[in-house]
Parts: sequence; C-alpha cells; structure tokens
Amino acid sequence: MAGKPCLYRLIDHTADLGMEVCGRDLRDLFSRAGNAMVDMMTDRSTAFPRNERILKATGTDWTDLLIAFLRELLALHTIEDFLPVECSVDTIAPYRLTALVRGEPCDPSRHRIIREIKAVTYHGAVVEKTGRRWRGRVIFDV
Amino acid sequence: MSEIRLERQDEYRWLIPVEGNMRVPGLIYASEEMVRGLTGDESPRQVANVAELPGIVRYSLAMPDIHWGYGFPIGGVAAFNREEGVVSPGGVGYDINCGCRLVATKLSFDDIRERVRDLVSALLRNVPTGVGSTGSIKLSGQEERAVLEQGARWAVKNGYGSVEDLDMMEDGGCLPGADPECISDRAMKRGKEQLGTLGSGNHFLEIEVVDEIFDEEAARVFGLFIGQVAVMIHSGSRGLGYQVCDDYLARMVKGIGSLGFELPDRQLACTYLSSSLAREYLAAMACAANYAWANRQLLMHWTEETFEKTLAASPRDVGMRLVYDVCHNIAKMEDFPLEEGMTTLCVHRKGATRAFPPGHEALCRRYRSIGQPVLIPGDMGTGSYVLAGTDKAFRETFGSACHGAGRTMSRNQAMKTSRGRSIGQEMAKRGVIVMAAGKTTLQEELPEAYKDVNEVVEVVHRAGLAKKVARLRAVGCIKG
Repeated sequence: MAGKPCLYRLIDHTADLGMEVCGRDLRDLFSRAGNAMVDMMTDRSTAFPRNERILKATGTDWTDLLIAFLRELLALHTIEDFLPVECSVDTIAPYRLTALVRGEPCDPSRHRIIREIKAVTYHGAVVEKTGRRWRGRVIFDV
Repeated sequence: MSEIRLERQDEYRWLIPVEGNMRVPGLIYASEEMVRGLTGDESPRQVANVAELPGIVRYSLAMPDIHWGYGFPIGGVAAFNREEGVVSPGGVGYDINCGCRLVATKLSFDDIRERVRDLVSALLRNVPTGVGSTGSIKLSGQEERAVLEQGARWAVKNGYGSVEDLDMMEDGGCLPGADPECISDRAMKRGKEQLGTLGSGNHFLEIEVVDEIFDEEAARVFGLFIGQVAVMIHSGSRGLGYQVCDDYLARMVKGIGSLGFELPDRQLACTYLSSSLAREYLAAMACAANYAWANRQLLMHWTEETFEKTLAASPRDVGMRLVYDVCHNIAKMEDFPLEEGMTTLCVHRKGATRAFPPGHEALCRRYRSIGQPVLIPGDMGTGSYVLAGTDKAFRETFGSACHGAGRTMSRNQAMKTSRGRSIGQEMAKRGVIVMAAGKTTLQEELPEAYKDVNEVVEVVHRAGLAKKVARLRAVGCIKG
C-alpha cells in the first residue's frame, strides 16, 4: 500500500522460514527486521518490556550486518535466557550498529514461544535500496 | 539466472550439465514424477551451486528426498579431495549429526495394542521435548567436555545403555578428532542443559510396528520380525550443534574474499581443507556429533525406562536392543575407490544417510555380511523403512542414500492447509496416537507437507543405492 510502511512478509521456503522487511531508512529497516524476528519466535503479548539490554553488532557490508544483528538478538534468547519484546536501532553506520532491546528474563510458565529459530542463515540474504525505501530479506533455519 | 537444465541419464538419474562456474556436473536421483515436482524449486540450482566449489569430486549429488535448503540442497552429497577441496559448515547444516536410531524390542503389537495411548503420554512426560527444552542432566564444564570427546561412550560409562550399543552406531557413537578447545563459550553454554532432550520441529520419537519384510535374511540379521514393536528416535546435537555451525560459518564468511573464487551463495562459505580453520571446524563439528550420539543414547534410555514402567515389565521382557544409529548431517573423511586408487575424501552429507556395503570394515561383525542398516523415517506418523547399504552406492554416491521423505510444502502453507482441522484426531483415525509439546507442531508437520516416503525409498531401492529390508508402520508418536 502506497505511503504505508509494511511490517514484514513471511517468505515461503520449503524447509524453513524467511521474512522480507521494508524500511524508510537503514535504521528503520534494521529495527523492523529485529521486531519481525521476535514476532516469529514468540507471542509478544505474553511478555513485558521491563528490562533493557544494549546490543552491538558489526559486519563486512549491510547484508552481513543484518545477519550479525539478528544473530546477536537471537543469542540474547538462546544464550542469555532473555526474551526480547521490542528493539530499536539507536546508531547505525557502515557497518556497525547499536540497538536497545527491551524484554524480560525467560519464564516458560508465562511466555509463549511459537517456534524455535535455530539460526539466521546467509542463504539468499539481501539488504538493498529499492527506490526510496530499503528492503531486507533473510531466511531462518527453523 | 537461467533455468537449470536436467538431462535424463536413465530411469532414476538426471544430469545437470556443467555450465558457468560449475567444476563437475550435478546428478539428481529421482523418478520422473519427482523431477516434475521440482519445477520452480530452488534445489536443482543449489545442486549446481555446490558444483562450483573447488576440489569437488565427480558430481554434486542429490538424493530423491531433495528439497530446497539453504546453501546446499537438503538431500545433497558432495565429496572433496584433500589437496584443493573445501569443508563447508553449511554443507553439514546447523543440526550437526541430526540422525536416527532404531530400537527393537521383544514385544509384539498385541502386547501393547491397548496401551499405546498410555505409552505415548508417558513418553511425552518422561522425554524432555519441545522448544528450548532442558533435560534432567545438568553437566559441569568437565563433564560436558567429556561428552564432546567421548560421545555415546560417555553415556554408556555413566550407566545409560550397554557397551554392545556402541557397535550398533555409525563410528561407534564417537567421531575421532573432537577438541573441546575449538568450541565457543556460547556453544558450551547451550550444551550444558540440553543433553537428553528431543527438541522441536521435525524431531520425533515414534512407536512403530514391523509391517512388511522384503529381505528375510537381512531382517533376520538385523533382528526384525513381523509384528515386532520398535522405536525410532530422530534428534540431533540441539543448541550446541546450531551454535558450532553459526560460529564457524560467520568466521568463514569473513574470509570469503581470500578464497580466490566467487561464491554463488554466502551460505556456501567454506575454507580449504588444508587450512587451520578447517581443522578447527572439523574438531568442533566432531564435538557436536559426539554430543548428538550421547543425546540419542540418553533418549533411548528414557524410552526404555518408560516402556518398563508403563507396561510393568522387566528389562528382559521388553528386551530393548539398538538395531542401529545413523547420522544424516555430517562431513567425514572417508576412503573411496577412484580411478587413481583408494582416496581419502571429505564427504558432506546434508540430509543424506551413509549406506556402506557388505564387507566394509566400518561395519560391526554382525552386519558385515549384509551391509549397513540405513534408517529412513517417513513423515509424522507414517512409519519408516530399514534398508541395507550396497556396493553401487559405494561406487556412485560415496556410500550415501536418502534420509527421509523430504518436505514439499512450506510450514506456512502447511499451517494454511491444516487450518480448522484436528491433525491429532485425523492421525488417531488412521491408528496413530500423536502428541506434541508445541501448539502448532502437528499443523506444520502434517503428512501432506511431505513427499511420500514409499516413493522416495522405491527410487533408492530401484536405483540400487540401498536395498529394502523392512517397513515399519507408526502406532504412536511424540513431537517437540
């Protein structure tokens, strides 16, 4: 829809699951990509954004940076037992970023995990400018 | 990008001729109908992409359960020489040593016919299952290192199963060369609490009954008889394996520029086998493979306990015995006959099962006259096949066969197709009691989302890659 920013679109991949995200600029694109991945993992309404984490990532280009960012966000969940609810990219420059992630420690009795994302893959990953927007595409191993 | 051209070689072999940067042709094993089903699928392109990697020997291969993966196709097999060849973590996959084990019992279906529902719900209670599930075992750092170095041997030493089980596993349940120093802190952390857990997605634990025997002699040697109750376990190295792949893939992506050739897909990131990074990855991969073998050994132990308690039967009466354990996501150094003589190659099997022939020294004495048991699970609740490896596979496919049915429908499509249906009830009407820890698992894993395992196995059998020994039908299943 013209003038309305899209949230994210699931990509039908036979074995796994992918997403396509658009943003006004790179900061917007990366923030949306982070929130989209969290949305695919968990029912966000079951958790509260009561704690904060600062997340940093670096890459060799924009695509690599997107993968690195999503890998770090996923690691918060799989390694730190922290359930992200929302994230926003604070600073982004070639090719590093800082993001603020809000969420809370995992509580299996309360939180609903929709699906396990094993990993963020490089397969067919893209970050590109299309017209006035930025577009990103990532496939996850689920 | 141009459409991939498939040239028919014979009834079940389809060649992708060398084009562009391909170094060898691609070769897909499939029936005509399966090839028609590949139209619009990315997997033949992925077979061609793998053929661009240096040091690849003969062909980039795909088994009949081929489907779209990331980087390598699922069902892909590729062997690389040690001199110019590479190893690719994406060619092994995230779930390192994801695999299957078949456990036979002394029970006949009549012994459990009225107790299947009790058994399935007891298994769901006793076997840690589902997203991020943790087990009852919490490993210390030292214990975890021992698991990574010793694999299933660690489990046996700690009272889970018997020494005889080790003979019935690929590589005796322990891949040599494992070095925990090559494992990151993140991977160690993920491995601490997940040993002895089934996981989620397509992993399962299924109660099956031997339904049909195709080869009496092989079935006798494998200890299978009509009406016999058996258990198939499908699981892998859990978060530790995913992290090993993720860590090394990221390191290899950073080095793409210095490889000296263009990669068609970053997920194919690799490193030369002669490099120190390759040695580190293979040592870390071996650790994850060993973790997976210990994991399946523990899952078998909880299964045995559950059967004995639920049926109030002695270990002797239940008589659980490991038939075999195979991995289907791995890269291994193995010897194969090439024109220049026996040659050590690094064989990647990404969703493909080793299928070694009769007489091979890697097989235990009991199975050496028959060939390696090849375990092929179908989709949820359909059942499984046991086949035996052949000389032809050893010569043609680096001793490899298929690994399962192979998805045809995305998870999203599967969710749409199953909307408003109770998959659990549908399966129960077909005589299979299915229970899952996850709310959407049964919907995503519905049987129509997969190819027909009967057809996949038929192609493998007729193409001579492995011969059919027995078919098992499912009667109960737990999913993550």
